[in-house]
Amino acid sequence: MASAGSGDEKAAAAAMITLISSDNEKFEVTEATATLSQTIRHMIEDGCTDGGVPLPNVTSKILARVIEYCKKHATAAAGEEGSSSSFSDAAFLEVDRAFLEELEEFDDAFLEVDRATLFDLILAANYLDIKGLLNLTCQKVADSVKGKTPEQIREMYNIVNDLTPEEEAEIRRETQWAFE
Amino acid sequence: MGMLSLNRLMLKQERRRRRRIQARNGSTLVPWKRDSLCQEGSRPQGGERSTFSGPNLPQDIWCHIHSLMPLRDSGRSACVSHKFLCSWRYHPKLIFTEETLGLKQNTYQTSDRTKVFTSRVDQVLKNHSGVGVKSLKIVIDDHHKVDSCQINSWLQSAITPGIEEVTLFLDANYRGEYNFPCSLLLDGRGNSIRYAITKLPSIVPHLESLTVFSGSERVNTPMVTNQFLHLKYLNIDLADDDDDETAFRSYDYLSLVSFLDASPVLETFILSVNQRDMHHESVFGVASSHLRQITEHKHHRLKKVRINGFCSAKSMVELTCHILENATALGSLTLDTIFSQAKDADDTVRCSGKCVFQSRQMIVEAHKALKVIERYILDRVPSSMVKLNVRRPCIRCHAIDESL
Repeated sequence: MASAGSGDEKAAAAAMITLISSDNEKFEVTEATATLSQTIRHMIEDGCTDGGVPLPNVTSKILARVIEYCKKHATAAAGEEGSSSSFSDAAFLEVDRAFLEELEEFDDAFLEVDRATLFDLILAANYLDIKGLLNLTCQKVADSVKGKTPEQIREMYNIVNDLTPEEEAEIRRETQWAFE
Repeated sequence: MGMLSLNRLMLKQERRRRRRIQARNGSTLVPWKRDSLCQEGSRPQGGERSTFSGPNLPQDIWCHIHSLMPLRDSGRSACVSHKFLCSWRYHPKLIFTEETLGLKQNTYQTSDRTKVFTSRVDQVLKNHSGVGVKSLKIVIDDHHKVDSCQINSWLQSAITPGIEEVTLFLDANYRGEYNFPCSLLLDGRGNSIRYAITKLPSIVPHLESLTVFSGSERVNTPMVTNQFLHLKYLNIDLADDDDDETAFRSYDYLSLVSFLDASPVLETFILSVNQRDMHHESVFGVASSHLRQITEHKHHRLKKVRINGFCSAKSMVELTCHILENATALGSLTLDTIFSQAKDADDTVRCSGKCVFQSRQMIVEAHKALKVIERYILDRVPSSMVKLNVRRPCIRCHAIDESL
């Protein structure tokens, strides 16, 4: 995988995409990285990326993280496609396995963020339509409420209870089994 | 070397599979409708009114997050806020097992477990919006004695047109006595015949007997590559239940040949057509009608064919002629000019007094059908091999002035 770098860059040099964050910061990325986003992929297909792609919903701080994710996962995708190369089977198996583990470690480390950043990443992944990132970040939230009481969940995510006491009591009755 | 290649292949497949799962999960986002019950009223949207300055998530994302939560977590968090409640009501993955319903603890006597399991599934389904269930899984453990009707009522309430996956695990106790209500998947609405021929060969490849009902088949039955390699008995029920009863007129009976082609060992084919009036192009009274022919395939195993509600529609006559010419082992052909519900009414004499009511149009049509049989069918029946059984309208119940 490491050797894939120079060739890839050369090939992609012609196809660099500029992404512009809401605070007007510019990010140059390869097309391979950018097209992990279905939204951007469609823009490229429609030829609307000249002069950069403005992303008014994404701050530079979040966009930098999103690009970090896309770069890593785009390499993974490229690795898989180029996998019919001249490696011996055994060597290949090792590389593949090692790379998968590395990717998992990367994802775990990537999710080590505060709640506000996590929500921002979810919103950006949703807006940019990056399915892998959306699932990764949403799964983190889903896992975090495991075994928590409604009160703890509200506190964790600063959610205001907008149910009337009567509504809440009724829902509690209905879902009583889940508390047992 | 061979083993290594296999390992490598498996590893790659595993990666692909993970990708696919990711992709599938991604597509589970519930399309959010503004008019749905979750956008309840004028109440301030609690989430947005919060005191902290961070972002908040829209309803469709909370729904997606809930779809990634185990059932119990999602249920327990339903009373967090309206958005959570709504996400719970629209949960797209309903997985009912002892574990997901919190029955794994030993707090319940074995005898009570069935009751508790049943009441919890009931409770969840009763309060579910009934919309957007993509995946339904019910695992009935061996010590449970859940009634078959109960199981079917659960399937009925959770299986809606958006369903993608239904899994039902039953203990061996149910073997032989439980019939999965396939009709739920082929819900009689829409183009069930088309669905059956395109989807079922891969879902249930060992199917031996199939009954499909369609009340509004508008699309002709397509040719397919997948086959029902074991199908011996095929019963197709068509009706013009559509509000626009003339919509059925465009259905081409001859297109059913693709079902026969897809079923190489089929022995019995029953086609029933129940219509209020005959809107198809008729061959009755037409001086000369060019009948289409499909000569591609022979149906070597087909022995018994029955057309219930045979009419003078051109494509119906074409279908019958096709069968006579290509079903090389045909032993009996029954053409009933009246749609009747009697299952094995092979006698030429009807049980007078018990006949199904027929509209005057359909009785007139039956008489046209009889004339059409004389003109187009009789000559094509190889009398030495095929026993032709033509059933006429009942002389008592279906008596009208026959002068057409």
